[in-house]
Amino acid sequence: MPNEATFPVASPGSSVRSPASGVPRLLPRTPDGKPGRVPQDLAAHEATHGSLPYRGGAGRLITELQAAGLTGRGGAAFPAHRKLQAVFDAARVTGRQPVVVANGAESEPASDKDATLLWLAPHLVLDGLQLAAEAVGASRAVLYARAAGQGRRQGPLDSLREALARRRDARLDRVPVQVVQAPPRFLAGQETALISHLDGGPAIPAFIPPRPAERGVGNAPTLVSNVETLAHMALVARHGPDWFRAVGTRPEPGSMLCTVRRGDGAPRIIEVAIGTPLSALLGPVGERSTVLIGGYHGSWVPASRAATLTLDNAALARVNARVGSGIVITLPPDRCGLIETAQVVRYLALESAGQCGPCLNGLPRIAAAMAQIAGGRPRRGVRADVERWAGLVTGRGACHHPDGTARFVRSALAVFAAEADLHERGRCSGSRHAAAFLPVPPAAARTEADWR
Amino acid sequence: MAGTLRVNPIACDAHGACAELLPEMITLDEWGYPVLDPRPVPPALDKHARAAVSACPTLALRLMRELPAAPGVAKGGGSGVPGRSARWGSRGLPEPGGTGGSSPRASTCVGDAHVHESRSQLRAAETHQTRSNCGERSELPESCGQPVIG
Amino acid sequence: MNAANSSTWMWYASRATGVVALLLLTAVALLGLMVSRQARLAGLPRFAVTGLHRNLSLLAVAFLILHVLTAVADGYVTIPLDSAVIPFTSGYERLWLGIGAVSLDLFLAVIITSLLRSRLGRRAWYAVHVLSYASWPVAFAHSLGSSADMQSGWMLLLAVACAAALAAGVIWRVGAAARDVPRAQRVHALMAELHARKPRAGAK
Repeated sequence: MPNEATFPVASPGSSVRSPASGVPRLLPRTPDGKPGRVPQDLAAHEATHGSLPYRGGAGRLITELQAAGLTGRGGAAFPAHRKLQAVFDAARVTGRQPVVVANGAESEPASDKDATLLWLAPHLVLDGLQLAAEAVGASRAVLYARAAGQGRRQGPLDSLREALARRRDARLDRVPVQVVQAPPRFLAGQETALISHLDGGPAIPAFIPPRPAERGVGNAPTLVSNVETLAHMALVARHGPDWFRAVGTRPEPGSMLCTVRRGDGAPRIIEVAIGTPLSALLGPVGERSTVLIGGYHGSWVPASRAATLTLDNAALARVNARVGSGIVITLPPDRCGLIETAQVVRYLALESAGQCGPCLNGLPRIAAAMAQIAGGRPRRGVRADVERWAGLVTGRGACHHPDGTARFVRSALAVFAAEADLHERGRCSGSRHAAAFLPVPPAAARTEADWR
Repeated sequence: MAGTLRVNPIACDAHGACAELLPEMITLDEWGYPVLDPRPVPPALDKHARAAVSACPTLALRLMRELPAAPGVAKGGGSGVPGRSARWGSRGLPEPGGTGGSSPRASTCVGDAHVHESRSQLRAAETHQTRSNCGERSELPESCGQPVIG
Repeated sequence: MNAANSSTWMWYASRATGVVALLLLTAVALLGLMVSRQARLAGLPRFAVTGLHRNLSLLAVAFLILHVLTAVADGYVTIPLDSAVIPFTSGYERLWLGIGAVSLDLFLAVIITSLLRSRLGRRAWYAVHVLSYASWPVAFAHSLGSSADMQSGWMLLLAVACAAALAAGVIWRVGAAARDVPRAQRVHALMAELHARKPRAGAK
């Protein structure tokens, strides 16, 4: 049981409920422990988790987060305490009051976990935002979220504004929160692109240095944290680091939200302990299925191999993959992995900001070559060209977009090598389908306004 | 005090002056953009490196002094470019091996995993019943719901 | 007699260094336009364009200093030294020398910020550098207005040729920039070209 004596988890006068054991932790449960699908309003949130446990001073949460070992859930898995510490230190050195941003842009088309979290448990995220703001001494908070995507009918931003209004009425939030809509670009959630947008410009990445923790929004030290990370912070503050470590692995503790797509292509949001066997997520897979781990900057892994692995970076490193933001997609055997990859790469190329020579020149060429490989009649040497370009773009942009795209493409060429050989002979093992399996947004950015 | 070459790819406009002034460490790719040697500039070339930096019309090329490879930089990881970590410093990349630094213990934690249908699905099918998938997955231990301390 | 001779010598030197400075500044401006469009000088390496641009501008500074000093030192007319940088304070030819001082001020601002470029950062440096577009026409006006012999004969032809060359350069540069693909359309443009199988290198 969590050791509440070590870290006082509640300021006097507030109430904290005993946490339920195991997972899920972030996503709500019904009273009999089943997963809930009803959004938790403020009353339900406080009934489940207790009231918001402010620490009573800047910097105190940071020690708890260090003990808990919470890492970012936006894909980069950077230790949360180090980010907060950097912002805290920068604020002290520069004398500027920091800004905290809850990053709910979730620009990966295949990911849905942040939107789901913001829908079902917004108050956990907003609690975490307030706690992070207190920890770094921020005077301004922003909730950066995307508007409704394909297939959605209701705008999430309105319900978030409503949740904030309820909190204002209850005088919960000490730092005012501004809701900002993220443009529907793949790079909109990138840290420096987000800052550029909040500063009134287009959502395109900037060169680092200076780091956002030192100079970000309005030149103030800025903490950009994924919404799921903030939700975990809200729970660590209530239940302590030992409770947080009760699930997960020692180097990668805690739980995480995953977006899982199986044969029917429909997204399911599952909260699992890190280190859960992938087989629990994949469902029944055939020999010829392939799994995409980590989204469109991730890697393809044969399903038979994936089923032997666990969902943590230490295990996935063996197949050159990483957990990323928890996207796990099983490609059915009747789908051609090269065709799917090619249409995703075309999308990734079109989503380049077009600022850096290698990315601007390399990604469209890679996309055109992949289209050739997927569409049949590829020239000899096209695959070698793609390998060369993938090497040329990696690490030479201002952000990691070219690196991730190169990783995705290389893993496709490696895992679908036999399929590529078939294509060279004019055949394809996948059957014809009307629509692609991997979700790709149709609209492309054509004007400067599309980036704002 | 050795320096490391670094280029701001947003500012770089492929003028190419740098590659002419420091061909030992800078070459141009097939599109005219500089490929930098990630190793520190040897003392013999320091003067030429500073000339190359000064010659850059857009101030894109820089000579970073005493830039340590930050602990947060991932090495390799399928990038395919050797020594990449020395060039970029900390970009918020995960520490190798995670926070503990040691290999994970053999017993990993398995909690029960509940299924949450995505919003878009729910909106389309309001009457869909929630399934508890514990029984479907034979991989999970019998003590579904019992946290294992790892 | 001696005083008259030496004054004539310095007066000629001032006019001569002025003409050379104008020629140099014209060359520097043309080279600057080329640098901004990544153009190359035939047969010369890439770094030569930007190298010449800088070195010739420093040479122009040297000639300008001589131009000012000889004009001030010459005893035939009284020109105080500070009127070289403070416009419209000289007794002699107040208007045209004042204009010269304006152009010198602008030019010195460009030179000094360029020498301190690495400390200023790109944006601040560029904001001042754009002033060079103003300093040349002002220098040109000063040259024609303050010197009678530039107003006729082969000197006038020389001045007009410089102006024409620079005007052509500016028109070329502005036209090329107008044909640049805006950032938001760059990838689209390249994808379209690749689809039509006509890729061009360096699409930025």
